[in-house]
Amino acid sequence: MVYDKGLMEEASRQLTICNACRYCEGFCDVWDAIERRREFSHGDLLHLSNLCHDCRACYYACPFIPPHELMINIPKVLGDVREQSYEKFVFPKVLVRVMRRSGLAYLFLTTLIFVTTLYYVFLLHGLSAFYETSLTMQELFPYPVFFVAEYSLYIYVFFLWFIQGRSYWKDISNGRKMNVKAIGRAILDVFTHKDFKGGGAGCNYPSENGSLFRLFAHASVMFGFIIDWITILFYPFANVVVISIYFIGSVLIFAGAGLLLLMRFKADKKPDSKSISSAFTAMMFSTGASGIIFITLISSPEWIIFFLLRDSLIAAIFIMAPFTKFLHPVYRFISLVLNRYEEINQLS
Amino acid sequence: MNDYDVVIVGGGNAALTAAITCAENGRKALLLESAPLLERGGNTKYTRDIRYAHQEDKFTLGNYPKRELLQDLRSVSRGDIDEKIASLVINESEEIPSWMSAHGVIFKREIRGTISLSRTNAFFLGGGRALVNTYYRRAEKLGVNILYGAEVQRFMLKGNRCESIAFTQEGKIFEVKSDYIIVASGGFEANLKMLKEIWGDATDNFIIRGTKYNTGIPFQRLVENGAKVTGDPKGGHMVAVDARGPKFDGGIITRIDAVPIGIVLNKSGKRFYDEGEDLWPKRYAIWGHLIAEQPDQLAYVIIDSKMLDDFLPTAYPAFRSDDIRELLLQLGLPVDEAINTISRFNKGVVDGRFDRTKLDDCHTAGIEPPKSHWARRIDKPPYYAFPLRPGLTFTYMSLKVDEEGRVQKEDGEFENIFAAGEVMSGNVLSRGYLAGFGLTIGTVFGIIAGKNATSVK
Repeated sequence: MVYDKGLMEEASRQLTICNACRYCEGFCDVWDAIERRREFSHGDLLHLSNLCHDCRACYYACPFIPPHELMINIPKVLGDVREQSYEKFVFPKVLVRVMRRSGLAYLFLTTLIFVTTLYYVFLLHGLSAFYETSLTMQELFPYPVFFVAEYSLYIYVFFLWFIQGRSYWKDISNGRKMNVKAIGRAILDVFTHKDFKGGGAGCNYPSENGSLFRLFAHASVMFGFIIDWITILFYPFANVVVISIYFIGSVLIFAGAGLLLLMRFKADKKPDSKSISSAFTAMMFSTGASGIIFITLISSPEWIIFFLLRDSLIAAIFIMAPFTKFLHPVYRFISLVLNRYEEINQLS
Repeated sequence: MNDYDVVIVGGGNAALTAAITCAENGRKALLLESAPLLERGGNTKYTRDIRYAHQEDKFTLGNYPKRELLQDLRSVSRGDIDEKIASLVINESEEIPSWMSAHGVIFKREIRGTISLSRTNAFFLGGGRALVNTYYRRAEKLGVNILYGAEVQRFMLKGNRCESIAFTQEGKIFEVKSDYIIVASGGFEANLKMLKEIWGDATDNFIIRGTKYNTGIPFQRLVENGAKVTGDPKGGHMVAVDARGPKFDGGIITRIDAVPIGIVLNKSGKRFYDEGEDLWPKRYAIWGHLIAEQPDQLAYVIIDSKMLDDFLPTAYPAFRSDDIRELLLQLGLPVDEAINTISRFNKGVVDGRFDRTKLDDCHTAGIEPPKSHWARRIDKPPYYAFPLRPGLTFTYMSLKVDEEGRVQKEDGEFENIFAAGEVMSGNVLSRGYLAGFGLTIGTVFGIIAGKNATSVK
């Protein structure tokens, strides 16, 4: 893929001005990273764009935002570059087209998988399975079938993520080696949501008024997802405890993604980047919702429909993982590692 | 029955601290900001730290006794300060950071690249616009009525009392009655007509770093009505800025810190002042006036490749060439004269140990003007240059006030008009500048004016 040269030049123009000002130092890791540089290569721009968590503190603090003639709008320009970074390392390349229409692709895949699995249940258990016969999870999905489906999806996703992440690292790192200490600190940064705090002023998404809502919303989705993912590993032993934990995970995903969607709806549009899409968040929200419903209905036969819907949504999310916003944990994490690496080597 | 207890004219730090103080004392306040919402906040937008006297505290990296602050103030203004008002500001300054914290401002202790200020000044997160946003939110919560794009046109006076105030907003004229008026409308740096009366045609070559909304209209109106003026008309915060910057509102970004690192030539290709006289934060604010006195108010700082990383990055790229003659041609300087200046400078350099963080021993001998510190030969290509113009941040000519912030007249005083911030900064200093002291004056007098406009009724 070729960069949008105009966009890259614009990002570099703005960041050069920022580097002469530096008033935003302390809001997040982006500002320290800017101050370590005097020029901004394409790799630097991609790195900074993924280090940016779109908290927008710098937008509201900037005296040079439009209508000022310097036209500084860092969340917007970095958001646009971030979209480019997602497209740049898509593998295989043809799937960039899918990436640009992720909403449609999600819809298509989810429907396809949902209909197929419904049909499969109908073939094996008859129509009554949906309203009369109460099937257990194991009867519905024998463990070996689930195992194959689940782990082939993991292998597929991690394989593509690995290839993409490796190209990304190559592009941004200037030949530096990953380092254990930096990785450890970056993991902590992820779990503590360091860059959601605006350096103490709170996150300015969705509005100028800083708060920690977005931190809680994102953490809720992230931990909900991790909880559900770990519980799935216990699928063969599904019992009340496992299902209850799974339920809690679903509630966390549902509430967090719902809040994030609401914030997106209410967000100040001026710092929004061009191609931002809510498809991934909407999918997570639906996953949470269908999870809550199927567990609530678990003693009645209809649970199967929502269980299959939930699994279809999750399968679609995983299949699309290398071509959607689901890439952000990969690039953000790698950029956090590079940032910690630079920090450590600068201090010592 | 008046419409408001207090009307505050202005929308920067001084105006907001005054408005907040009034509202916290239960007064009905109206704030008239002449800029539109997206450009609100006056020159406060372009600040990021505040200077105040203190013991060791959690906001800074060391103590800064009142004595030392007063001494610093005397030194930059060469003794030309109002000791009574200066001491008042210094005494009151101690309380400022806790007042700011209590009103939502977040301080950060460690700031990169400003070691020289981190003992004396407290830096707040996000700089001045974040500060202003915080104060506006607080003022709104307290019930202050805030109008944007509201330009004050007249003060309706009866004797020494101001009965009401007239302002325009979106082409319409409004008049409000108020018990008290606080004028915190900034300097007049954006009023090119006024500047021209003072500076002549040189004004055309000035860059106004401050906000384009500081047109000095309220100041002018009060002077027309007999207000007493203090401070040198030419006094102001004027620094060397990149000549390619915006005409107005360049703020911090057009700053060029290369002056003490390299050499500075005027349009005739000659050096005209000791670039290495003192540490840059102490000399930063004199270079605007120096360049204002040069032909066409233009100068160029020239460095070579070994000096590139010795100053903060710039917003605009340097002119650059592997050949010094070619660089001088690009700049449009008289090449032979400039080459002559540079080679004489190079010959005059006495080698030493370069250290930009202190007064080092790299100096010149036998040339005029000398370069007392950080003198290194310009001899390692490629060569670089930045064009410089005077950049005016704010003006010092002010309304004379007493210790209560009350605006003085040629004969007597206005009973119910107070002033705070840049519009009265000339009461404290009239030349030179101490980084972060403008906010100190604004905050101290904002609070004083706010209190005095509520104490007596």
